[in-house]
Amino acid sequence: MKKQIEISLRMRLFLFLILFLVVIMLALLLIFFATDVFSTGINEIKVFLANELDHIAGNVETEYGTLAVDGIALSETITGIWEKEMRDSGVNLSSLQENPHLLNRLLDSCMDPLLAALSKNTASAAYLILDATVNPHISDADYSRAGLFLRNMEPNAINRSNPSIRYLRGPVVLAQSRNLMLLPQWEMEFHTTSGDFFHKTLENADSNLDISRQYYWNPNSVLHGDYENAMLLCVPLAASDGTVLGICGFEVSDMLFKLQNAPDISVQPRFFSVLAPLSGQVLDGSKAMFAFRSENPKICGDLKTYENKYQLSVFETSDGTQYVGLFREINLYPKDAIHGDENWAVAVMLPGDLLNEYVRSKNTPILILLALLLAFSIAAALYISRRYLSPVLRTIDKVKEHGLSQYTKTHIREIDDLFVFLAEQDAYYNRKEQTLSHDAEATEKQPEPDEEAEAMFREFSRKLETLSRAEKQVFNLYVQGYDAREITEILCLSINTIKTHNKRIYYKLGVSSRKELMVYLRKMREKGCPIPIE
Amino acid sequence: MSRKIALAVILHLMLAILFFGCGSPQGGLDPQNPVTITMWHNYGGQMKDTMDALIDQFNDTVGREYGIIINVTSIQATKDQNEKLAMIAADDPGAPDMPDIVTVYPAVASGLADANLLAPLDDMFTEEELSAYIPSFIDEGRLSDGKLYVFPISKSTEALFVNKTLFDRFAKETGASLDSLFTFEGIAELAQEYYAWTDAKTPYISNDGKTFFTADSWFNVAQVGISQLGGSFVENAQLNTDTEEFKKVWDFSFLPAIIGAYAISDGYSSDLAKTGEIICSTGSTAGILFYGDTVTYADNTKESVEYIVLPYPVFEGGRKVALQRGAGMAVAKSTAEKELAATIFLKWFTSPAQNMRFVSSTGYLPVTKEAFEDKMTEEIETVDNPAVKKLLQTATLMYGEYTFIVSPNFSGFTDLTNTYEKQIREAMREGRQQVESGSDINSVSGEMYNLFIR
Repeated sequence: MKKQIEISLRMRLFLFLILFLVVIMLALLLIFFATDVFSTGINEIKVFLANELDHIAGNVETEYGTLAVDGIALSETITGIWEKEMRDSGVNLSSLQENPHLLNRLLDSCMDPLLAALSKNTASAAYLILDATVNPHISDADYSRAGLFLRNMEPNAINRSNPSIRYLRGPVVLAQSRNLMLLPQWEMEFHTTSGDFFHKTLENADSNLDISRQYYWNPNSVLHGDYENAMLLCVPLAASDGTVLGICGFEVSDMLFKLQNAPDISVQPRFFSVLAPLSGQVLDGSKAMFAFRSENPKICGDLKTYENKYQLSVFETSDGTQYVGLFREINLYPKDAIHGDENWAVAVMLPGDLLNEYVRSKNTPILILLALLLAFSIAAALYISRRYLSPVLRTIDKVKEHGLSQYTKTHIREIDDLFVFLAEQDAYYNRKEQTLSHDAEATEKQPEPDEEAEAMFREFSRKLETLSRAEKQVFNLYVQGYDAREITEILCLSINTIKTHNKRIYYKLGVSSRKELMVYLRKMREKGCPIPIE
Repeated sequence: MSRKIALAVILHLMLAILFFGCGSPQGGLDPQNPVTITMWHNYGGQMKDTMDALIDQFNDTVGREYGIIINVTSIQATKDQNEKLAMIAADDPGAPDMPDIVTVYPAVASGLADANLLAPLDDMFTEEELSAYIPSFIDEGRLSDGKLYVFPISKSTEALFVNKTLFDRFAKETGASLDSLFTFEGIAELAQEYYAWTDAKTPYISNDGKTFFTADSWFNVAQVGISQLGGSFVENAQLNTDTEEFKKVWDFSFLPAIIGAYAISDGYSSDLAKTGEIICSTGSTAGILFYGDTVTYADNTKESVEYIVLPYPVFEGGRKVALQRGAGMAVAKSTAEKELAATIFLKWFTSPAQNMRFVSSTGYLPVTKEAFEDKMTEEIETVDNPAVKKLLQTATLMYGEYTFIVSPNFSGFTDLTNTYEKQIREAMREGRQQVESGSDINSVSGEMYNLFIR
């Protein structure tokens, strides 16, 4: 006989409920994927990056554009003042280098406009450098240039009526006359070298072009002898006769850039923004300005960019460290400017591993909820399967213990029908037993044999022979009055094995109830058949 | 039984999911969601690099472990920062936001504490932790309610900075001795001698001698000098000027100033030192890096010079007393996480290793017993900057021989100091003008003294 896997009613119900649950969960997952729920984190980041990039890039363009306009105005103001001063002293502007004694006077005349310009805008410093030195006879005179450098110690402060200005470059007497304190790294003149921002601006100056097309933004660097990283706006100081007298401009320090352009960190604290020269697909980190509200990214080299599968830009350093974000080219110059071909970009990004963490963190609550739902559903399935069947199982136990006479309605139609049927069957076999009993009594009183009953008994006896050895062992113990639990202990078998044997015994013997079996056993005793059977 | 087991398993599963899903922060700090602490400090110029390196190191190590990021949002001179903090304390319109940690002197911190803007730190340290610090440094940070608000991070005192190169040039011709610079009276005498010597170099121009000395803080000269002489300058939040001790201080400060032997400047003495306008000055030991090693003259010629650091001068007959100063760091009243994060930074920053690193490149003095008493002597030998090395040697000597006083820390003290500085400088300038106009020096000094003490 083919072995069948027995599954209890409760387990069947439990498995059915679980199957139903799995279908629901799969449907949920399908809906989540169809509606891109698991991409929520990435989409949120993309929207955030786009908004921040818009805001910061716009801010940078506005701030730098405003400083450029102010720088041009400052250049025109200074040049106008100087031309007047030189006219009044009867000296040609082009012979300034030969008249160093005039330098202090020229510088003094520009202090107030420089201070005024600095107090009106958001630069961290204002400066001017003359192409002349106060002492052309000293050893490093070739590199020394007179000028003024005034630094605003709190450029981002709202209270601009009383800015705290410190003196970085210029004659001490001018600082003292205006009660300006020297910075610890003060020097009288600027130290310039070939190819630096000063010489580059002078060399590129073109008298045929308007001054507004000649300014230059020196990328992030440190002024010789200073400690502050900054970008410098360099505007030529060009006299009306075309003589370039020097340069002037403003400074955007890295502290100022950081305070003005750091991205919002409510989404992730390590977002930062970058303003850097762009060459092809490479941002030059060594010349970049960084703005952050938390940790300094400390990027010193190139950032190669490419797009990832989420249409975000990946910025990779030479050592393989990756950042993810967005960038956009901005214009620091008019298109027809001398430096109009220089490309600059603003980027907003964060470390790549943090982006993955962020996306995971967005999906984790969903996955946790799904897991909780699963756990709850399993618990519910367990509970329902047990609770639903408990009245049935209780009734079965009662019937087992006390017989069908103790049957109480479960109010489950099919179950109640079954028990009614069983009760009727029981009644039938009771009647059959009585019939067989009467036959036995009749035999004792020498009654007439019941042919039908005899045939049934003979059939029963024949079928006894078909029991296997194990089945006979179980049968014998049953006829001796042991119940299933006791038989498991005697034979050292599991209850399921005993139940299996029991079913097979009933099946082979063709009896449908213990009562019916008892009837046959009584008959066997009456006829003197050996019990236990062999 | 199987039902109970199944339920227990499911319950544990749910709890595990919730627990691991939500993470387990330490004391409110979570490495996955770091808290950012904004900082203002005063360490600019050369000190900025050291400070930047230390903050980066913290962010990369302890900060990453606990979930703390220190972000510096302002580096300013003390005076400028104090103005901003005063605006914050007074809740002035346009005042900036209070930073989470700020370097501050106790007197300024008083105003912030009175405005309930500072977090007391007593409960953030165990007794054992606090006992590692020099007790007087901790006491200096306690304000009027006895609570610790200003945590010591570095200390300084005042010393006499001498441009030895220029002094030697003067001494060679006049026989002047460095020994004279150990007393205020000696300085006054040498200053007048120097004025006369330099004036004589331009025989056709009279009264154009050069200045010899200035003080970064004339108030400290008075406060410390009077203490050296056994008196007290500040009593009941008022200045005690009608005393013999103050007269002595006045005579030292005022007479040479109106002659022209002292520089009268609103800025730091190191500014004048850079151009050779003074030979010596009193100032904070933390200012050593501001002096540099070069003097630049008006024609842009430069001269390499050597500086030495002498102990703070003493009035003749007085005790060796000097000022103990130095800003600490105060923590803004904020969330429990930010206050904890700030305290973790303070503990790390002032631990001997970090403290000595800060000290050896700035000229400040360490604040823990281990660093100050055990490590200083050997650490001085490893200092690269010769000026800082000399400074630390002198400071160590002073700590062995001097008695130290601290400035009062009531909330009006800063205004009192500023008023005195302004008034004495105005008096000096006024007196100088009168002397240049031909008035008798002693008469001018006497008259100005009487006006001043009134």
